[in-house]
Amino acid sequence: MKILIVEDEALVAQRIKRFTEQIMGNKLSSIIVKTTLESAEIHISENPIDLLLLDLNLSGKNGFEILQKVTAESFHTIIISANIDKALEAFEYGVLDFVGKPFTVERLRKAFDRYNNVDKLSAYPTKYLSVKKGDKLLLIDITKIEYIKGSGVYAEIYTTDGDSLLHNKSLNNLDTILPSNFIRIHKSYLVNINYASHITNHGAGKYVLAMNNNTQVPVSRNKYKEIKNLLG
Amino acid sequence: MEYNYYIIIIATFLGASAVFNLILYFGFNKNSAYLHLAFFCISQMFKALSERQWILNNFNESYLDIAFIIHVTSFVLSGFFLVAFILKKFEINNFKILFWPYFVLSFVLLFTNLSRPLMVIMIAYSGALVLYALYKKYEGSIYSLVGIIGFAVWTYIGYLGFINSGYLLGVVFFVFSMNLALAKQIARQNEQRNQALIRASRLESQMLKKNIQPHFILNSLTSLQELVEHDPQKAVDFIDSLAEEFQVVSKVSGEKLIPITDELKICEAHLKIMGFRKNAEFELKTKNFTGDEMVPPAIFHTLVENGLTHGYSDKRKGYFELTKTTLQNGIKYTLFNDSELKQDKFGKGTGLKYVEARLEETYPGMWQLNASPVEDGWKVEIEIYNGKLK
Repeated sequence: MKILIVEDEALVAQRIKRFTEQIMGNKLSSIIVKTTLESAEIHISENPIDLLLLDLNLSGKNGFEILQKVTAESFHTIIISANIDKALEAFEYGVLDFVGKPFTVERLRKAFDRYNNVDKLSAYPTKYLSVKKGDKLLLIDITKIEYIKGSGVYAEIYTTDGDSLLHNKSLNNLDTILPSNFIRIHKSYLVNINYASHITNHGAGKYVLAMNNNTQVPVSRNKYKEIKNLLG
Repeated sequence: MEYNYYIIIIATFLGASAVFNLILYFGFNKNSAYLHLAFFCISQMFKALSERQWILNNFNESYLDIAFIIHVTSFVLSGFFLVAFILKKFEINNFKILFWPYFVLSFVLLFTNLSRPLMVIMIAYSGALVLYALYKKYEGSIYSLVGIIGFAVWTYIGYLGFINSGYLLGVVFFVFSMNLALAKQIARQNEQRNQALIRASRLESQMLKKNIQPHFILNSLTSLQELVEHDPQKAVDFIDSLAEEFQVVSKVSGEKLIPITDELKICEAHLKIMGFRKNAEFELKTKNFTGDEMVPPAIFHTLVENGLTHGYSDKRKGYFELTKTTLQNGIKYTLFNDSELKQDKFGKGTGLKYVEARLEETYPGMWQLNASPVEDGWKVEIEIYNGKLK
């Protein structure tokens, strides 16, 4: 696992690094500290990472611009910030966790638990997904997402407007940050159950979920019962 | 009998106005305009109470001679007070140059024993001064103009014989307008004073907030956590510097001007704190200070803070230099730092706005601030002048 820490205060950076090594142990393959966002971006463009631990001053003018930018990327982001009053908004943008300063090793361990999918409940639900389209960033209201299809390391988002958008995150990563009405019905599909209509058995272990607008989405055999129960 | 009531009402009004203006003078602000207006009212009151008809109605003929002397004297005096009042109210310079011609003129007219020309001259002279005030757009000149015109019109109507004692009614009208204008002016001054108080307390709370703002404290506490676990001795020093900054800040927060030595203490404590947090060494040097200088609180501290937050993310060493230069018409303070601050980042942040607000509070219209990148860093120049900028 590759982790990048962006923190311009030496002591705090040292603290985050020390705790991360303590928690992740030998699962860690690299941990780097950068003091500025610019140098972090250069690093990421050359060395893909799995998790970004970002100190962000969210009270500044461009704090949320940066937030939108990092959440559109493939890796997960944990914000470590003193602007505790902005935690809710940060969660809405789909960060994995928001750790307020000051913090203990236990608090950071909880954040890593979320990364490892041990703790699936986030403090506040994600409300938007930030998506890169060309050189622009779009902010998508997740209530408008009908379903998401895994596509290699990317994910294709299908919205109720009939648009489809490619997200840099994998289906697994999106599953971690999306709220519980998004259900993994298949290894390649994540659906917003609010838009599901009924499930049909096509025989030979082939199950299909029909959405409200008649889109057909395949369902894994082991998920059939659960979904059937959910839809009543 | 009707005439008696008439004089009593006017005299009472003038007396009350005199008291009102005396109260303003002694209780509110020692502006001699109030005093002049009070004496104008008193003179006019005496003038009314020494009218021939009033004396005949209430006393007897033997008093007429002394009443006449009172009448003329109070009339002449009222003219002096009226002119003096207008000159003082509008703070028209050259008081002497404008007052003495009237003084001489009224004496000349007095000896010719022509009371009507004196009346005309008094109103005309005052009217001219008020017109000048109006032309200069002085506050309250409209009220004064209305008052003077009313004064003139009532007097003229009285002269034409349409009403009795038009002149006295004119005086009442004028005094009433002036009282109204004064009341309005006081209300506005009160408002301004309150505004200034609010501004001052806002600056004070801004300064305190800056030093105990959650972002600063929480970040400091996080660093402290790390030091407690890893380097307890350094943690103790860190707490010392934090306490030093808080102590000096709380000592000076209510002041408008503080000794430069206190200001430098805050700056140095802050540089130490940030040195701990960023694992860097920050140094502040001063040049040409005697130690007696007084400055608005936390202005250099704010500029140092600005430089630190924006310009030293990658550097492990920082140099700040505060220089005092004597100008021909004031003082210049230059704060240099060797940061890598980019031009667009300095901008007009809350920090710079705080510094400007402090300067304006203490040196209204007498200062200038320039911030710009220089070859090897950043430079902020504050110039404070002995007089207002043109």
